[in-house]
Amino acid sequence: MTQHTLVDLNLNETAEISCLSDSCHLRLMELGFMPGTTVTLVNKLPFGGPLTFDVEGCKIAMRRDDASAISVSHGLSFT
Amino acid sequence: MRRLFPSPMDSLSPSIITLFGHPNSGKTTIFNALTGLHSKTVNYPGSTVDYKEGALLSSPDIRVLDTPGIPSLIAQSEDEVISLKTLFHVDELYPEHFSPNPELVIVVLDGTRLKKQLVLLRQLQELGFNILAVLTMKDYLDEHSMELNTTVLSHELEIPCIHVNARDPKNTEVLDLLIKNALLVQRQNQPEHIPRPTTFKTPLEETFKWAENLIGLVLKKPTILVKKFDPDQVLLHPIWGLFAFGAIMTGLFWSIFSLATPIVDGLDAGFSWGLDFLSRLLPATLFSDLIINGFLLGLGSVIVFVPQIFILFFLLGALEDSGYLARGTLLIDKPLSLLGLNGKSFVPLLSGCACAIPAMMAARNIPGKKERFITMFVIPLMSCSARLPVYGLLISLLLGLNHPLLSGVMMTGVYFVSTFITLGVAGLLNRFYFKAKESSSFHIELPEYRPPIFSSIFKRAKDQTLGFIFKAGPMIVMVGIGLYILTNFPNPDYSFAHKLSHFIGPVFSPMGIDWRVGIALIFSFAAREVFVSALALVFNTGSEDGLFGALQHATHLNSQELLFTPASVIGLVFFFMISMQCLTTVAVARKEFGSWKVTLSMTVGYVSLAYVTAVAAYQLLRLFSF
Repeated sequence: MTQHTLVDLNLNETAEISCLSDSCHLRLMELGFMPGTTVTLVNKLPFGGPLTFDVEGCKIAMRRDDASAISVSHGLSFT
Repeated sequence: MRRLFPSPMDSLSPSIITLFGHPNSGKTTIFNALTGLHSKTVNYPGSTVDYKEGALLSSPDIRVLDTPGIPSLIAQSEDEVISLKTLFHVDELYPEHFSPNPELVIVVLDGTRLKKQLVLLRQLQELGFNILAVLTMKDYLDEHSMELNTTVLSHELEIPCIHVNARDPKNTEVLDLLIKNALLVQRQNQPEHIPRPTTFKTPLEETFKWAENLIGLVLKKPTILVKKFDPDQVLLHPIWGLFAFGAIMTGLFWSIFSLATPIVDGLDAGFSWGLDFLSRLLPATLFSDLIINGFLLGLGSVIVFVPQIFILFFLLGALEDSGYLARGTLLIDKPLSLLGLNGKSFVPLLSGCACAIPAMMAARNIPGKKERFITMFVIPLMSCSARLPVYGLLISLLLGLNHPLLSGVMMTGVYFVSTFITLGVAGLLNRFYFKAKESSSFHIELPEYRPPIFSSIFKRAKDQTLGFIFKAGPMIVMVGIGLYILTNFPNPDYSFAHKLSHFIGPVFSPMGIDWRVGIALIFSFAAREVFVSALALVFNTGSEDGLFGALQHATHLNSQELLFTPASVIGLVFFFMISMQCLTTVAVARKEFGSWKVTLSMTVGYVSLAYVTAVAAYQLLRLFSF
């Protein structure tokens, strides 16, 4: 089974964070991306632009590179 | 020497209070309520780039520090380093302060995003700080039928907590009492020295769990959430979002000119009339000539453009406060990343349209070293407000006065071209100067949209505009005196300026201008807006035609050829777009880069590039007989 990351989410899909790959992502954890938290992809900009996630009611946007460091276990899907 | 029984006021007097919290948690609003200082409240993460100091309204001896918002005790960028200084190195900011830590930390928590903010509070508490928790966004919680129980929160945290609406004076009074109490009673429990932590005492995961449990106890949420329309569905839409971004930016610059034109024209007419009246009223002495043609004419020629500057500041302020800028950052991250910049370069570059100085400081928000360097390096190329009077005059010379619509289009065009040059230089720097790739990251929290408060934007724009006038005024007067002496002594027909003209003339003739415009250009190196007043003085245009009319008919000294042809005017526009003509910017650049070498090569580079471009534009246009 390949490990899914936040980049693999479809628009409006929700998943649970399983782990963050890099220790330098401490800041993302502090912003709410903690293992066990559910996140929803709420916006996707074209041409490989940043992704926006809803984490506990806050919108946080990040580049796809940053998002690919956060692994998720595919959970509930709302489409 | 310490007295045996210090009075309460003694122990309060040297106190320092630090406001601390996440970006956009409402710190600056609390700061304003406590200090009465109307400093900037901005709805964009990281807009408080330097810390602000104010005195507590009720006891002016107590200092309150407002810091840039920060979601962590471990710094990631320059502005965050400053925030942490107000917690762990207060003695670096105030050498007379006996402790490196403040006496009290007011942690400001936005009631709508409690969890991660409680985590930050907990970490501070674990370090031993004396803390007072202030919760904000009461109106928002009420609106969404959420209830926050501060009594339970206070009990669980074992610190005073208060939920405030900073616009309600009663709230501020209670807060004031709590602060006094916290300073008098609780501070004894704070350790003498709290050093800056490098790791967390409790693992982050545990603290998050703790926060989650606590929220379960204190926050009541409605079971059914009403889904409201989210403006981001349009403003961040893959297609409409980009259109909206383009439209908002174009509209911004177009309206600067089109909205201001009637006011500018009215002011200009009124001013010419006033000067005319004054010169007939006063006896014709050397002194009255100096006052009228030296000071007032120069000052007036710049002041007529002040409405444009005000409109620019006002619109930028409205855009900032609405929360849209964070979206702009997001929309433009990808294209900027290709040029070696970051989405976070957007706000510094945009504020470069107002003034390069705060813009350079705003660049501290950019975490990557290379990205920050390139951003700061190209900021002086953005068209700042001091260039507005110059562009205004030059565009009027190009089009005449009766084309407000076309002038608006031209002005927008000028902004487009200068943005293009700015980004081009950034791309070149990235390609040729920085060969090594730097790992880069970008993430940003998007604040809720909030309708901007008209009065607060108006006040800020007014203050910034007055700031411009007070900065430009003395400079214009000094240049006025200098030019007056230069052009009138020993006698007007063979003055110092005439002597200098042999040297100045040949330098500027390739640009299609004579030594008189050259002198104005040289003086504008003190500050760009001086160009307009200097032109007014050199051409001595206190005549009934006004500045535009007189310049429009000005000819080269030894021929009947018009001086301000489309070719020479466009050359001048290019010169002002690129050239580095602001001493304050040079000084701030030196401070922010920390290097004279970089600052001087930037200055010399831009001046040379400006000259070459202006000459090329003039010569090329003349080939096509413009």
